[in-house]
Amino acid sequence: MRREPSVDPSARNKGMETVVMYWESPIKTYGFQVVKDLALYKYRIPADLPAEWARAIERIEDGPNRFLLLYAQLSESSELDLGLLCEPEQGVSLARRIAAEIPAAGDRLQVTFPVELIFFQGPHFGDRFGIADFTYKALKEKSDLLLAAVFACASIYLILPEGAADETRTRLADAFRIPG
Amino acid sequence: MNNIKGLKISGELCLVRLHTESRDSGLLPAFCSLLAGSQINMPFLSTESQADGIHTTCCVDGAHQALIKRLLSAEPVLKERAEYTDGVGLLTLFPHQSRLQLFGRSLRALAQADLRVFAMASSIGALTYVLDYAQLDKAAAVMQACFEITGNHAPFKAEFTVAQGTQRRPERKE
Repeated sequence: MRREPSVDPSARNKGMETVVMYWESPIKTYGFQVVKDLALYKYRIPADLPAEWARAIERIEDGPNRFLLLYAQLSESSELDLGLLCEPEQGVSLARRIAAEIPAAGDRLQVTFPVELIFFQGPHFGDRFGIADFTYKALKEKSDLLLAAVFACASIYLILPEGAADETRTRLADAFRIPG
Repeated sequence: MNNIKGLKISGELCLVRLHTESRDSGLLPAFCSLLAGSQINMPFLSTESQADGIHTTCCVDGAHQALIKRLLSAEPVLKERAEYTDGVGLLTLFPHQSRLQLFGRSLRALAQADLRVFAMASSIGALTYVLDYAQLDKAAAVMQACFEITGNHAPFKAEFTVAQGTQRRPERKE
């Protein structure tokens, strides 16, 4: 990255002091991490009960209960579709806790096991256009396999069915550059 | 009380939701390609394959809303599957340390304050909520009441943006 004084009057008018130029081709990443034998817990949280569900989640003793990825989207019916990716045994304790506090929760739970995860980060990924496009182009038809994907901040998480991570990682490694 | 190290508030964004059928799995890559071709960044993208198809939520800069609508209007298949919500923003808490308690507590606090969560995702160290932009300051205040922020840092808004150009790097003269 190289910093140069701003010479753009419009930038100066906006109070911008520095223009940062970033040249990078191909796109760099700090490396890929693959985790296998994970469980994906998916809950559909009712629109009128998010606080009750959140309280049940909050009451879980953290200890070993750690997640690898959390994501949620509001559905067309204004329910919150929550995905939790974790080690299988940790998901079990979460499901047990939620079931104890919210008896109807079992009907709203879907577990997929085993699944695999690839995650990676790169410089300013969250601020740059084309990162998702570059990733999908690298995956080619393997993007059809994705169970879920999250691009947030400077991180990319791809959840894949069992057996798909290694070849997907190879495709990504062919497209992205890992310095050093 | 749980500790976090900080909160970050984004600028105003537009939320785009795409719902495509499973057999149309190529539509999301096509959507990403369309945005990349017009240099539109997506600071947040979450997509999931469900029984009834692929559900995607993404955010783009609010200033790009008209452009993205124009782009999609030229792509009928994408246009009819896209919904827009303007006036959203990102509230990011960090670090999450992979703790479910932190997630549960923050979600409960938002729910109790009647703050609608459009989407949420974790990243390597942060937890990002997509909320109503007009309510971001309130959401930040809720989080400050809910968590102890180490070092008493105030929520901060980005003071600069990174705009990526397409110019090639000038050749260096030896």
